[in-house]
Amino acid sequence: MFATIFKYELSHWFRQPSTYVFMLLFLGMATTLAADHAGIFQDKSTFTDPEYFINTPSRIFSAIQQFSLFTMFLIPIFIGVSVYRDFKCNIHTVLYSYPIKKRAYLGAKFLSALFVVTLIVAMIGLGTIIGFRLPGVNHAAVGPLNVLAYHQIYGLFIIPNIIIIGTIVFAIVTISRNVYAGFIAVLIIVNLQNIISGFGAGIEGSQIREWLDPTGRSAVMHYVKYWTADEIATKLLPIKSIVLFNRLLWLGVAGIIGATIYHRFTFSQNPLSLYPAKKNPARSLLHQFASITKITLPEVRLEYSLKHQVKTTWRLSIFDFRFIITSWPFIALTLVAFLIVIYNIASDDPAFGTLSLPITWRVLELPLDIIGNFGTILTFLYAGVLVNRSKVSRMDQLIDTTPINDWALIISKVLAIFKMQAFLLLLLLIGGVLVQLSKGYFNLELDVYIIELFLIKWPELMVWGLAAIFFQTFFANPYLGFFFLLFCSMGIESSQVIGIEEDVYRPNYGPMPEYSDMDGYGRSLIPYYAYKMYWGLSVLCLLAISYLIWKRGLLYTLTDRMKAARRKLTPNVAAAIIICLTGFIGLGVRIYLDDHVYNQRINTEKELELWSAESEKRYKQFEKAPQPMITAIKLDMDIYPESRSFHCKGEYILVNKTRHPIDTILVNYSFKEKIKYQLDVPSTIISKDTNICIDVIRLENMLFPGDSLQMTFDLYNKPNTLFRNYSKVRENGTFLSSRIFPGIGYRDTELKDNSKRLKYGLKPIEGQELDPMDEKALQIRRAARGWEMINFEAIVRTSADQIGIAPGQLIKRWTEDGRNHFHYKLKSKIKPNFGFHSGRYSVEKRTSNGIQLEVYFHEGHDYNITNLMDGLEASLAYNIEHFGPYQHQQARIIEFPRSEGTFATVLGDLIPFSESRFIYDVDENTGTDLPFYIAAHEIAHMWWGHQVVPEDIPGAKMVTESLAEYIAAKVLEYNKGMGRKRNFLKYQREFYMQLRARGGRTENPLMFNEGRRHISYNKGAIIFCAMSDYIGESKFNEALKKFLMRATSGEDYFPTSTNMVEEINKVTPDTLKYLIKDLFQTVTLSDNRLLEAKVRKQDDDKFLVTLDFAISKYRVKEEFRNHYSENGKDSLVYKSEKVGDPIYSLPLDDFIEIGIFGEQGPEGEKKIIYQEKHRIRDIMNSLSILVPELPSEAAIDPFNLLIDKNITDNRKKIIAE
Amino acid sequence: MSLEIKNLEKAYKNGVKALDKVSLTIPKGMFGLLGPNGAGKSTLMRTVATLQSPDKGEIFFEGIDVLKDPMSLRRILGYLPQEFGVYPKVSGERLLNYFANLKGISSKSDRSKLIGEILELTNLTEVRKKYVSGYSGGMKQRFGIAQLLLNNPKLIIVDEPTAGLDPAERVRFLNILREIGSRNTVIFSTHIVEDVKDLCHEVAIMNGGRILHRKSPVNAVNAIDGRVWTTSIKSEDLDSTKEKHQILSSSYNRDDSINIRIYSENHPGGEFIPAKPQLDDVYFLILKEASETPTLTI
Repeated sequence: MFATIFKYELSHWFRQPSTYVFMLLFLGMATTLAADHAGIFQDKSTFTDPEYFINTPSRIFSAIQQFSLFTMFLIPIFIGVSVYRDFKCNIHTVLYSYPIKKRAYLGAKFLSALFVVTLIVAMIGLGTIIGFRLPGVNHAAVGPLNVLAYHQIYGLFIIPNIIIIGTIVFAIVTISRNVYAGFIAVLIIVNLQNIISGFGAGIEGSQIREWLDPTGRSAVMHYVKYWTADEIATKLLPIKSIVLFNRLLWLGVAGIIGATIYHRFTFSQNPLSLYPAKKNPARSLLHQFASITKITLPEVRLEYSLKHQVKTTWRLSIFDFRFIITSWPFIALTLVAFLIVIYNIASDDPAFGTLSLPITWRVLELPLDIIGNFGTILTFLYAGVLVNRSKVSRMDQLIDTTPINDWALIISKVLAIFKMQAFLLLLLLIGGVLVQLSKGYFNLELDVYIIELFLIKWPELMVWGLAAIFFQTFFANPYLGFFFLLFCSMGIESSQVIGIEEDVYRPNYGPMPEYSDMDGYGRSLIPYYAYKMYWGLSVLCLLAISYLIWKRGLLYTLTDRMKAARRKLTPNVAAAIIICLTGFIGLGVRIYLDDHVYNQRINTEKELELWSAESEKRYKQFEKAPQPMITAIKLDMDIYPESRSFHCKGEYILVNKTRHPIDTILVNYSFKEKIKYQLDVPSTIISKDTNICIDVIRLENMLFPGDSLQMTFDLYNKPNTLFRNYSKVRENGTFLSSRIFPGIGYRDTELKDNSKRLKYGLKPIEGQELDPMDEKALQIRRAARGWEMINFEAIVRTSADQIGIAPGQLIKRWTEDGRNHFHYKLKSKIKPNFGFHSGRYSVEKRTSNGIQLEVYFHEGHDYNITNLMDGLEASLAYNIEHFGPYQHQQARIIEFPRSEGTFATVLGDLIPFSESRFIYDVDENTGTDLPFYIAAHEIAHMWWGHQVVPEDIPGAKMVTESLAEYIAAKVLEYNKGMGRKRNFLKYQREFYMQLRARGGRTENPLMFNEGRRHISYNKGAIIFCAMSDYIGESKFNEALKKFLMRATSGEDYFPTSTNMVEEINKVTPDTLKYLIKDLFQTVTLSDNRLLEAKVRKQDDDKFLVTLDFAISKYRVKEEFRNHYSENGKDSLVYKSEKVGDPIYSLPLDDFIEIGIFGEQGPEGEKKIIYQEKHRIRDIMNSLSILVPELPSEAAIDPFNLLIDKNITDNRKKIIAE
Repeated sequence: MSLEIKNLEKAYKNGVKALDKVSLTIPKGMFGLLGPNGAGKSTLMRTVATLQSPDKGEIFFEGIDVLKDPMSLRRILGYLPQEFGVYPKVSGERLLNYFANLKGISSKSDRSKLIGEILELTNLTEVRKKYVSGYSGGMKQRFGIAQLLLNNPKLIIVDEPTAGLDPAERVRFLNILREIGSRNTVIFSTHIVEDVKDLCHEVAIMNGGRILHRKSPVNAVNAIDGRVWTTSIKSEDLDSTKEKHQILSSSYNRDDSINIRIYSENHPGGEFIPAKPQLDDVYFLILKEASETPTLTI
């Protein structure tokens, strides 16, 4: 019996074209994705290291995991439908009376569908294998086929997951006799996965997520997360305890569900009920009635006018809308969506423990994304439900014979979908307001809510809605339609992968409007609507086609449908289609022309790569050509906020500071702005390159050493059109940076990725970086860079309601022609990095030690002003005390709109500060005072980066960013307390450890680090704080100051990382010299652990603490291999039963801090009763320490001065002996 | 007020010719369409009900070219298909309101007045707040009639509506139909001869996609008066009797003997006695003759 049903079922599935469609689809997707990974389209950031095989087991696992969502939806489509089919066709009423055993029936149904799904999913593996080996891929990146890896992935994850989720779906469909319930179950499981994935993220050492993730992915990642490149390259997936436990747990859950269903299932006509039957059921009695009736119905008016049809459309949409929002899939999914939102908000682990205020745009940012995605999925789902509803409930013949127009039916469904979307968004609005109120935030910006939700998000969902109605009508199969739509939307979302980057080719995409409190949406709404109109026209066209192919009556064949469609194709409909299509194509052409012809803009990653490569090929030859240097800049900047344009007249003084005469000058300029420039000496332009935007100019007369020339220019933007903005000038909050201004010399925009370089025929970058110790090369580079520290002077002119800001002391301010004019001049020299701001600002001022501190902010953004001021003041004081005088008379923080970025930086004496950093909800008890810290960091840059100006070479960021982080930490320590600093460093360590695992194949030591932020910022902060702690703050800062003095003295001294380390080395005692090597010159990690901590009370009321601990350190060299020896021979090793695996270490003669803590103090921190550094020479150590109070905890390196692989085993409760 | 069907043809993809040059003129009144399962009744009715288009032919009703202008017909059409479902979890009243909207009743007060009356008429008032999907077979069929009545239809098409109804429901149902049929054109298909016998003004017998016969039931029966004979035989003699006579119908008696009715112009001899002809006899005779000879003889 089993075999018969099984065979029948299989043959059913193999007669379905959809089975093959899915197989081909998965094969195609997997092949494409794998081929893309292997670089068939272009080398992308998904894979940056060519010598690193892309088909390592863990990478294949990740690649195949990308399909898990699609795989999950196959389950209701096959496993769910296998049971559902019998209910749908009402066969169950007959079938269930046959003498079938339920074991055979359920088993055969389940297993046959499982078999088909497995077969389809197997296509992913097959496609992956093929894709990696297609002709045209980067074969060097692909390693040999590892069959075992595929076996492991399928045997342990993919197939068990299908079984687990399949069982759940099978059970749910069997109980509810509704296949949508299966879909909803999958959606919930998918999101459960997301919830669980984030679960326990904040709790250190928590493994809840790893246990509970039904796919087992988290369990694997638990191990793989900290894998180094070396391990990733070689190891199979970890089959360790958590993974096995997770698998068994879920198979167990599936088993229980399966057994329950098996047990409860009966071949009955009525669905299985989970509820007990109602008591005292009502008896149904047939009402008796008279036999003959006279039918006299009241006269009613029947109307078929257009007006009536429109009204009816509206009423039908209400009927359908009511159906949607009262149907439990909608309710369930909406609940899940909001749970996820709530969960996400609750689990938001903010940077350094500080949240932002619930400003409306912030409150909406994340939820809108989630609800938007759910809205899209619900749209796809319910479009299918509505389109097929009459057919599915077999009421179609009744409806189809009523005198209702097809368009009324279609549009009523469209409207119902639109209403559902609006309903979701309305819920979000209410939720957002409630969140704001609950946090005591009362500035409810309803206008922002309405624009963001109903004028921006809704149109986007509407486009999906219309597309969904069309495809669901077209497929006439809600599952197929849903899958297709989901597939398309995800495909479009990730279309960049296959090189489709321009929004003109990406349905329903386009530039997203950006909101800022400072100037609202600015002009960003117009392009947004242009694109929405573009895609809107395309889906309106589809809507008209939906009308044509709308199934009315019984159309058995395609020919029937075509015939019916042709009949409906009246001139009006044809005209509508033609108008929409023409509009669509017309707008598309307009957008295309705008991107490619009217503007030679760089639209795609690929174009940018080409541009960079071309720039290097043409002009790299000038890299070392000596250039005159800009020594003074004078600008006259006219900003017109009303028309959002600017015009700047400028003047550069260029001086030949080299020892050689110069006859060739390179002028580089921005390719967005327009520029006209001339030199005041006779010259000819040898090459004018408006593509790369670099001109080569020959001077008629040599420019001899010490001679100067003047360059004057006019810089302005192309006039703005309705469609596009050609300048960054805003109606309020303009921020123009020096990037748009011309420069002198070769412009380094080189590609850094070797595989990309190879592709464009460029030499690999290796060996080309400048060695920080190669002074000669540094000399050459400096001579060619085209600038030195400059004098700066500028006039800013702007509208009467705005303040214009530029670096410098305000010399004069006047009003003329109804506009405000400001004249600024800097007394000290700066790097040629400057900026202009214009806006309606509120200003807060303070004077500290003769320095004027100012914050220019948008009205209402006064939440953090005091913190910012305090940060500026405290950091200035610290820096002046330790590193010498401040170069300017003032320091000004200027707020700029978040649509320009979220950063803060230093430009002369200005500190441009993003709006998104003005709204912190500072609570010093729980987190770092972020505005204070950022202000302190930026002020530190006035010394480190703006007095000391290193060349852009490896290690440069150590001199600027690491120092700024160190100083910010110190300023925190002195102003906010030691606890706050330690808390801050804890975050730094966490960032570093996490980012380092994802950081790539190799890690450079701090002093040779190139651009990696987690090294220069996060690790830098830890290392400088540690060094300062070990050799003493004053001694350490003295060395830094000496370095700074030399660098600014004008002598031939380069502020490189090597020179800085050299200065530090000088003040480091011999016993601590090992730190120079461990911290700066190499990547050294510790693996210290406290094994045992005991206490015994002495007679004299003192306590004797005995600690057993292990100390170990190792170096991480190329390819993340751990080295425990300096020369291959001197490795330390400790073996003992007590510690399990033997412990290895580099030779030790290190100072390790030991801390002992007492009871919890009033501030929540444990009182330190012992803190001392001990000299350690062995791996295993035992120490006895006498303390005056009852100790509670002990720790090795308690404040994480060293970078310890695992800090959780460093601390232990002390046990009484 | 008559329905003209001219040369309607329809062949399905699987080769079945569902309609084979069907021409019919159906006047006001009850018109029964009799035929075995698969005779083409449903195809014919669905075609008239604008749900399906024929390969060839024309249909006119009150000046409406039905195939060219189906919407005009739908305004005056009441259709109850052989089998239908309803949206789950919608009450009778709400669903009728939905149909009233679809059928063009614009005013809300009109709708509620009419629906109240119709619910009363179809005896669904008590269950109007209950989900239609939970109705019993009879109730559902009455609901079908209720939705049909909403637009005061001139042409009513009901496809095998009595299947599965209990006797009382069936009588009630047919009475309503008959009442409507007195003023409008009602086409009513069935394979149960009983249904047609007394109610229909006219009846057509259909098989193999063709109209084999049409007449009023009374005339049809009268036409074979004196040619139907009956007797009781032993069951083992059935085969030999079949060879000798044109058997119209046969049925078992309690003692395992068989009652047979045969058609014969003259007295067939033996123990046959004349029987009063019934519509059944006409039905069986026509089906039989059609299967033997391609053309109709009476």
